[in-house]
Amino acid sequence: MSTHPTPRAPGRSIETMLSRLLSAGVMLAMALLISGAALHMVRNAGQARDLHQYAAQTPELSYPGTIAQAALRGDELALMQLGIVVLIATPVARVCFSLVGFALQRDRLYTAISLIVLIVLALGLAGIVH
Amino acid sequence: MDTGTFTALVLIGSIAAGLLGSLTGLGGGVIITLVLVQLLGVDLRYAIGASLIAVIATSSGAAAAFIREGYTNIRVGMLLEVATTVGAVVGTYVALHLPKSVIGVIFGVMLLWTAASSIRGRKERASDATPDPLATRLKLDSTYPERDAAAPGGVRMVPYHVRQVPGAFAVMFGAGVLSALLGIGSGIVKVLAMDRMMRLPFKVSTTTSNFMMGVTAAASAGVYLHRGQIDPGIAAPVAVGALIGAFAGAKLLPKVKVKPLRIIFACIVAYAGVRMMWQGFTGTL
Repeated sequence: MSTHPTPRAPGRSIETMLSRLLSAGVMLAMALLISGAALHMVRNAGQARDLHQYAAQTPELSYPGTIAQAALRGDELALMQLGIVVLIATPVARVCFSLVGFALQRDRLYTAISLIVLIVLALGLAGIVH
Repeated sequence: MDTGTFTALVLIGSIAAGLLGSLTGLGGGVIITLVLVQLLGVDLRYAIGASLIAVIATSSGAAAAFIREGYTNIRVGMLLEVATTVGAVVGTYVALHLPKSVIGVIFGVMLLWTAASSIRGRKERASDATPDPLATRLKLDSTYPERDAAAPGGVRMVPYHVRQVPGAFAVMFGAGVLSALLGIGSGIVKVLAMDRMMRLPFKVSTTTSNFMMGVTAAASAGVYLHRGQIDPGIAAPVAVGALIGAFAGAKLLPKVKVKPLRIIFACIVAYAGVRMMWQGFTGTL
């Protein structure tokens, strides 16, 4: 980590908020991942998993809605998967933040560019490709 | 092997990958896929899904620190992300229709390129004093902070100009495709585009590309999630391990000699690259 102070330029407060948001998101994700993994190891101790063959997974673990529901029920795989979903959300949140930041700075060009990135992300996440 | 052992091994392997990736400044994602496929016998498709999550974890984890430091050029990042995310969506489509063996061969080639690039090291080019008209129109030129005892506050802002925007844009499209196809951060491609072509100062290009990797990976991660290619039993310890390794690497960096590490990294990766290509060609992947 850098030890020199960085001068506060205009627009820095958004960057600070952004940085805190990312940290919070990553920490939340880690909490979910670690607790899920711990439960997983405890409950499945001694069992083997065959991961040599790629097999289509249970649909329950493939969509954020069902993942969240299953996680609330205490399904440890869903708990981990929820952590993964939160993780995937952090860069998306970051683009949203930048979009707002550019809009507030009245930077039309980059508001538009950020919007394009967000749309492409949404298309990808909506599973437009299959 | 049983779940406990497997999870522990994945965790350890990912920490090592995160460490190595962070210390050499090159892809940790590549090593994670290697460990999973070659050492633990995990199917390539699961490995790619898991590795993609690790890329997001390390990107967001590090970005939190880098943004505060003022090196990241958010405009360059956002502009190039248009290229990388579109590339990622295209890459995901290609990946779903490509047989595993072909992906394996492409992966092998990528590994060999990584090994070669790792030995060569990065050369910082002197920043050009002349601004590029397109870059100026796109408001990409910026400054980065540098320690200067003579300056007020001990820090002065060094200006730099950005060049070759269209070329870099095209190259980053390729980076996006590779990222989606192989589950990596495409760090090497980004170094090519941002260091060599755009002439960004090291710290700017490293932090900006790190920033971008997460967004690029997210573009393809959603598709892989829906397709069931992200197995939580693998991806969870991978994400946790990669993050721990990357942070440890960042702390260790000032105290470690990077050159011998790069050579070890290059050897491992080169060997794995040849092996991957062979397995791809013979269909034994």
